[in-house]
Amino acid sequence: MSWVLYVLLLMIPPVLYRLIRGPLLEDRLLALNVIAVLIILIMSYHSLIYEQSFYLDIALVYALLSFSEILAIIKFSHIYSPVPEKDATIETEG
Amino acid sequence: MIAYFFIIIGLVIMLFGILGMIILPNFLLRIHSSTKCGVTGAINILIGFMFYSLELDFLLRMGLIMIFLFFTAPIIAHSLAVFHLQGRNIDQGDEE
Repeated sequence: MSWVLYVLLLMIPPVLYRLIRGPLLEDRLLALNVIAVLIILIMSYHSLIYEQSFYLDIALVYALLSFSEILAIIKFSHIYSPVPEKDATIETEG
Repeated sequence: MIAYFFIIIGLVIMLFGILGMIILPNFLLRIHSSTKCGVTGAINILIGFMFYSLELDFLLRMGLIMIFLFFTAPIIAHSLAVFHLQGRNIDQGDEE
């Protein structure tokens, strides 16, 4: 059964690559979401191995916290990056 | 044996989701890959864990985690897509 833990742990570095090198903020938030799902799965695996079911409560709280955290970062970025007009962006970029 | 079946299916789905998240060139393609494959793989792996230990505590709590992931992943994907399409980063998606 321990190969599940190894595969789940080996899945994290490619997502970390996307989190570090992602060109946009959205890519980083997406990578953060996937890493949160992987950590929830690892916590569930440890609750199975040690046969203590209250680790799953921690996994549930972690899922709730990561969800609210990502929504809060999106809201913060909406506030502090105002939407420019299209003509202005075309003039500055082209 | 059913537990290993579900766990292997979930790991393969999740591996393909992460592969698409690395390879694909655009943000919308990446969000397509990672949300669908990630959440489906996670739910399959949790079903495998539920078959692995048939106790009531594990079943209830893993079912709660499954329902929570199933409801919150589309909300995050929708918010990220709206943020991508409304923000100032609309013309910078094809950098790679």
